[in-house]
Amino acid sequence: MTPATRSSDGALRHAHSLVAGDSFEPLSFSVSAELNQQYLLAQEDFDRRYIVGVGGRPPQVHPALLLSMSAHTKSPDFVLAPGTGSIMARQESRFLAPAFVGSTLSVSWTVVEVYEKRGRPYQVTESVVVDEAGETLLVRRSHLIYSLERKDG
Amino acid sequence: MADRRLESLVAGNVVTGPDRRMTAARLRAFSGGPLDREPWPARNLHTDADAAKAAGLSAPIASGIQPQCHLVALLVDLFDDDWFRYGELDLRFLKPVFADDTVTPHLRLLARMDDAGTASFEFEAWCARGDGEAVVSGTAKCRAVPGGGR
Repeated sequence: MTPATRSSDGALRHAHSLVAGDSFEPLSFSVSAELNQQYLLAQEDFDRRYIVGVGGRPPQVHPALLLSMSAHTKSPDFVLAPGTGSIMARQESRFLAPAFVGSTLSVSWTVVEVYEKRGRPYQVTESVVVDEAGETLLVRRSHLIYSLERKDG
Repeated sequence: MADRRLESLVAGNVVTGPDRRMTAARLRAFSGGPLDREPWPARNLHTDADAAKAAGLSAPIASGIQPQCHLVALLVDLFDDDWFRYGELDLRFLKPVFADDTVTPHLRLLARMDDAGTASFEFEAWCARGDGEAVVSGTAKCRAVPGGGR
């Protein structure tokens, strides 16, 4: 089966051209302590739950890592058309279970809606993060605009 | 109850988190890719001045997710483990955050509903830059479940 992000000749399709029902290529990754701690530094958040763990559990994966790695730009076949950018307009996130350092997480992305607002096209992509046991940890819907325009002020 | 502050909150009360300076180093840590990636950081409009200029920006900006995560940190402070099972955010991204801007997360309690020992909270949620402009804004919801805390 040809992935939605590839045309019939195998070339990658630009992200903005995907429509409802299309998917980006999923991603699996392991959460090392180093990767988790990188996000602790980024967020200036050194809660012990993320470093040594609490309640007899291993260190917990920081939510910034979960949100960052579930961005559609992290898909292995995400590609922008030349000269365009992807702008986040709105994001709906539901946290459903904690993740722990050492686990392998998988992210899938599906375009669930395309709509127009004030003359601008929006693409809504649903990201789902699951752990190796198949438990869903995070579901988020990102409303994206693909444009050259940038807000700079 | 995850945090004593929740017990005393009434509608209209505001909870504010710490100011966070979004240094270039923190932007790179967030958006530069894993540290063992070569070369590091990945060049993009969050980590590189030239890439930002090519995108029409005067300087690198933080990923919109980064200030959002400061709101999440404040919600984890309030709800502890419950946030990771019952937390919901619906945010709009309004303004950019440039390197060295300061951002501060805020929550204003809109409503609380109690049912069989479980309390459900809804907040107005936003992160403000040092100039007072909101950079992300929307709502946050979570349940506080008996025994759900640390």
